[in-house]
Amino acid sequence: MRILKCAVLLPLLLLTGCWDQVELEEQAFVVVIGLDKGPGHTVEITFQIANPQIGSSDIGTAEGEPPSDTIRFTSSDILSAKELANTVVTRTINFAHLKTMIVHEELARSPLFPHIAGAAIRDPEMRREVTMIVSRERAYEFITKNRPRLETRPHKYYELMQQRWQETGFVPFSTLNQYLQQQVVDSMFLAIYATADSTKHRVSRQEDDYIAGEVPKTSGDPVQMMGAAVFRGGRMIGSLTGQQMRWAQMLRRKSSIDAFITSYTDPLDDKAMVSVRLFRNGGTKIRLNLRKETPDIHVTLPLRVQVLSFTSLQPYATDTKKQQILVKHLKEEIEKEVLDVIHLSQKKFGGDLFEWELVARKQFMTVSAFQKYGWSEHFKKANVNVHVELRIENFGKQRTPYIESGQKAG
Amino acid sequence: MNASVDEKVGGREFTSIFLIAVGMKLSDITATILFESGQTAGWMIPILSLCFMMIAYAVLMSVLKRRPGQGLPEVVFAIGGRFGGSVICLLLFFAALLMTAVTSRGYVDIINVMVYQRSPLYALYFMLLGAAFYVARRGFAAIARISWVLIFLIEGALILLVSNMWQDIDWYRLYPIAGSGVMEVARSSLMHSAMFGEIILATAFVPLVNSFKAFRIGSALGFVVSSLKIAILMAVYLAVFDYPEIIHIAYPFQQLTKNTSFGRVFTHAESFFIAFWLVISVIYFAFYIYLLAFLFAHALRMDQHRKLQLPMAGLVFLIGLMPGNTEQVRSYWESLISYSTLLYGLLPFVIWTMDWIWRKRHANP
Amino acid sequence: MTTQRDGKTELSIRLADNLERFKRDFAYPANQALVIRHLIVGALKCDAAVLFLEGAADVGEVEKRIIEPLMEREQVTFRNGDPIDTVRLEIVTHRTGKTSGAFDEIENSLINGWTVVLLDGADRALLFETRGFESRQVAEPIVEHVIRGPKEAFTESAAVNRSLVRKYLRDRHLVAETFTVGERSASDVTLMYVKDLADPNIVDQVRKRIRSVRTDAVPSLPILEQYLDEHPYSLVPSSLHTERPDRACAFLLEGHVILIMDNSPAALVMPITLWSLTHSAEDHYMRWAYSNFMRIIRLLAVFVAVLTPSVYIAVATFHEEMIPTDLLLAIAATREKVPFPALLEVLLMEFAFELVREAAIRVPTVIGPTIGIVGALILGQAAVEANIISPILVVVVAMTGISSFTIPEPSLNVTVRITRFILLFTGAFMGFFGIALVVACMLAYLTTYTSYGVPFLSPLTPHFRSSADIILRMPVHKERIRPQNLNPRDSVRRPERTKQP
Repeated sequence: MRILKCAVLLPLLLLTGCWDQVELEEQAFVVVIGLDKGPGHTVEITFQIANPQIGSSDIGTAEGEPPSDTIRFTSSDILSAKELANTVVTRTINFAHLKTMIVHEELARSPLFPHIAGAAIRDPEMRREVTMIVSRERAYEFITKNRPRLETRPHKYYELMQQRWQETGFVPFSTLNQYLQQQVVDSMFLAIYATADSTKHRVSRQEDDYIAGEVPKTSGDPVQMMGAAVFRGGRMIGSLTGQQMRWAQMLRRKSSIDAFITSYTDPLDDKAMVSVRLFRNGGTKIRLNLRKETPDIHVTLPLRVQVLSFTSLQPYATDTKKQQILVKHLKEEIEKEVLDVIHLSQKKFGGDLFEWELVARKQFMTVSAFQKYGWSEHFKKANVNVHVELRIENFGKQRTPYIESGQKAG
Repeated sequence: MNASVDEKVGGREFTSIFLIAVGMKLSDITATILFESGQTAGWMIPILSLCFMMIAYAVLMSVLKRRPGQGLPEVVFAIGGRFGGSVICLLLFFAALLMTAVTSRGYVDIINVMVYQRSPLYALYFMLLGAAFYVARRGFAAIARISWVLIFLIEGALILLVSNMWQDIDWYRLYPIAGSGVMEVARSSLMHSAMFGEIILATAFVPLVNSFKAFRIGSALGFVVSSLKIAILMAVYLAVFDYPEIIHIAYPFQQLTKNTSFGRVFTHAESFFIAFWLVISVIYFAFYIYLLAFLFAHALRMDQHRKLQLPMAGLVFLIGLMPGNTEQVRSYWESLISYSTLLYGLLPFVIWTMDWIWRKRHANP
Repeated sequence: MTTQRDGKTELSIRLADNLERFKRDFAYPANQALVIRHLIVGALKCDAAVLFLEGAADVGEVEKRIIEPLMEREQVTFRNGDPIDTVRLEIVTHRTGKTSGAFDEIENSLINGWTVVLLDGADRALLFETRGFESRQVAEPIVEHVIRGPKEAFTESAAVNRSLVRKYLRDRHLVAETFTVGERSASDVTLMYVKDLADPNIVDQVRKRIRSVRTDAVPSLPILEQYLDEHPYSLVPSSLHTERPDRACAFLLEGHVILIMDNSPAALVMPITLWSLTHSAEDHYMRWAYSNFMRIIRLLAVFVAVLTPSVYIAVATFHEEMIPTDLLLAIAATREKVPFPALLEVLLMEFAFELVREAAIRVPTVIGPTIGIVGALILGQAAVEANIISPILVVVVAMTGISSFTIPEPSLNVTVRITRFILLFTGAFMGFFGIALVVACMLAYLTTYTSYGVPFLSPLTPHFRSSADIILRMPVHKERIRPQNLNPRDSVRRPERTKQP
């Protein structure tokens, strides 16, 4: 009798109770979301939905379907747009695999943006590690123009680019988590700056002295990511070039890049450039003296350098005197660039780009004391000096430049 | 099956119960509440709270030491007579009942908000308490043995979690070190010391453990290590999320697991940790259901405490459904902790005094 | 119990009466089984009859050891006055000999293959044990294979089995007690244990249970196991069948007891723990590193076999964020063409796999190999191409099936299969929440399950000192202590004792 009762209940359990159960193929996975400013207090939200049948094995492939579907809605926040989307899309919209958020620069500068972002984070499906990218043109255009030729699936592009960002340091590693965090503390948030509109070329001798859109390239994929957008209190207030971005990273105590390749003018030949790979040789040491009204900040940046190429073909590798000239020159150039960035942060942006407020916090006993001190105000007025310790590690696999040895022989 | 239900529990298993059950507090609403009052020093509060509670514990143990083999209910009945004994047991019972109801409601809220948004609250609650009831029904030995089997896995999972987050940890975020001020931190620790109130309740189980020494070592070790665990994990939360943001996050442990990934491939590993967490919460509530039935039966001087387990589970379910939403749950938890602190803090002294009177009365030859 | 209606239970002095009785009881001469050989005992000059059952008694022994001496012995002066004693002690050369005066006992022994000698003028009969039932030769084990190690298995003859056990365990404290169970058809059950090792409580319990079995027939050991079972409805077994004498002896050396019966090529070991079920014989025949490697693989295989389908369903329908994006899109792509919901797909495939498995056991060996080809290729491949199931599911189900084959013990194998289905349904019902709750309940059940008083998961929990051989094993010289969960009387293995698996 007991068994009979159980036997009756069991199938009922299978039919009911699956409140959160959704079949996999009935879901539409949004991989990229775009935010633009809409009329009034609305936002225009673009969803890029991945099509599973493109790029899968032969059994699942469907001919003639595009790799992704991009649709755009106007609504007051992200979650209501999610509901609206179901008027058009046949499957349930699911943010479980959403990894990237593209924000139009205009929306990022408007006071509406912190509200949108703050409201969206309540939904558990919206994750805090979503990467945030600020685009110079409308997010919708950015998304539709971003059709990389070598990647079939849209999410792959961002996944692979993430690895590249960590190698080059041209853009910061920005997530929604950091954005929300730094809204409430006294430092500034840096977001990736990108564009799909590369018509504003200019040419600079230093390869990182560009901002998104200025990189001189022709053909290839349209999207460029270079430089950073600076946010304060949740709103964008300016931008940094790739070079400034890299130094901002290096000046932080914990940076996500440890090495990058950059170039400087050659001390012995005006027309030539020296390309080096810079490594951080230990942590950046920051000493703060906050006792005076104008605080003193001493920054020590230990670096080691691999000299990769110099078009002047000078015998730096073999001649120690020329080496010393090179070292001194590099040191000066780097210190100048670093100080430029720091002054930019103090004067133009009026705040701390480098998370030095964490170092300042050590010198206070309670949170209220620190908040009363007002770090940004003091940072703006501070005297900063930078000391770079530079050491050349090696010169690559060629000892003497080619022409030099050829001349000697001939 | 029946023979082992009455078997005594060994020291290892007993310690693991507390390592798991008390350590669970790092994964619920406790963390956020402590950060609200302690700011960047919130992670120190568990250690200080345990210190306060240990004083009360030591006092109580000095009374129990004189009567080895007898647990708290037997002792209070011996020294307080029927009336005193019943009153104390009922007080403890009510404190434990309300605490269980609020905590279990908190846990079901977490499941509802973070994982299963569309499932109705009562269904999740019912299933969780149903499983906990089954485990409690298998006996105290079941709870103890499962804890021992799982303890290494669980500590391993925690270590895995912390090591996974290592790159995001920045210990400088723990500064300013005194947070909201030394006095404020101390006051908050004192007010919240009831979070370790189970140490007083655990003395009811002395007869179920192999030896008094095993009980003493097990409970002390379990609580000390657990409070260290909670403090370390809270420091990790602070180091990952930073101060003002952490009080905006509703459930820091689950949020931390959302950030973990095993390599580049398994990026959203939180469901893995949720599975562990659920198994432990079943053990946790099974412990409480057993305790509630045990205390109530002793308060009314009944023998059959096992029969009361089902009504206890039902009672917890009904009370737990009463608060309307998650913020109300938090405020009930706060006020409950404050009152319970008074109870757990003062009760050992009351018992000690009663014991002193009893000894004087019975000391005359 | 008397078969005769006249109520007589004792023999009479007259040979003819006794013979009449026997003929009637055994339906002679319609029943050709009873063989009666009349003879005259030369030495005593009296009539006698030798009775035995064809097929039950060993004819050679009867002729050589009983009939021959009876007939050929010369007449001399015998020391014994009683003819029965004379025959037994001085004439018959058979190795056994006892007397009995009750019909029931004599008839029982006839059925069991004994030979009965009736003398005219004596009211007792002589019984000689001449069992000669046909049975198989000692062969290789069918279920428990090892690569290294002995390849002898028990046979259907209890005597042969006992001799095998004695061969592997030569200990003078090895005791074999015999009981009979069954009222209509009495079978002998032998209880073997090492007297100075096994806990007397356990032995008592087993004895009591055997004696309390009341039924008409217990033909073989598996049926006896079910009669003795404390938890008949449980999914978890409380005793173990082994067909290897070396394994049985290893259990004896730890303090377990074993039961041996006729008609069962196995020994029943009790009490057992989960570790007894999961350790294979081979673990101790290989060196430390190899056997630990195999144990780890087997442990992982158990988890895979139990959890994989349920985790797949839970992740695919509740927790899609756990799957890496590429894999997710691949699965979604292949599932788009499949008409069934995920749960139904999994059930179909699992059912098909269970069918293949059952068929493989039942099919005649002549067409055996074709099942593998039919099952695997056609079912799997064709079903995928027909879009009935998605390819990833074939992988999931195949992995699960193969992992469950690594479990060495058949009863645990079925337990794992059933548990897998239970977890599958809870996973489909509530995702990881359901799985976690059911796992917690299962753990609670396992930790408090006892097999003859020994907790099922000991010596892991409750904790007892043991020989470092629970999940992974230590090299032989470190296995000094016997597992204490069986409460053995002698805890330390002495160094000169060779360790058996």
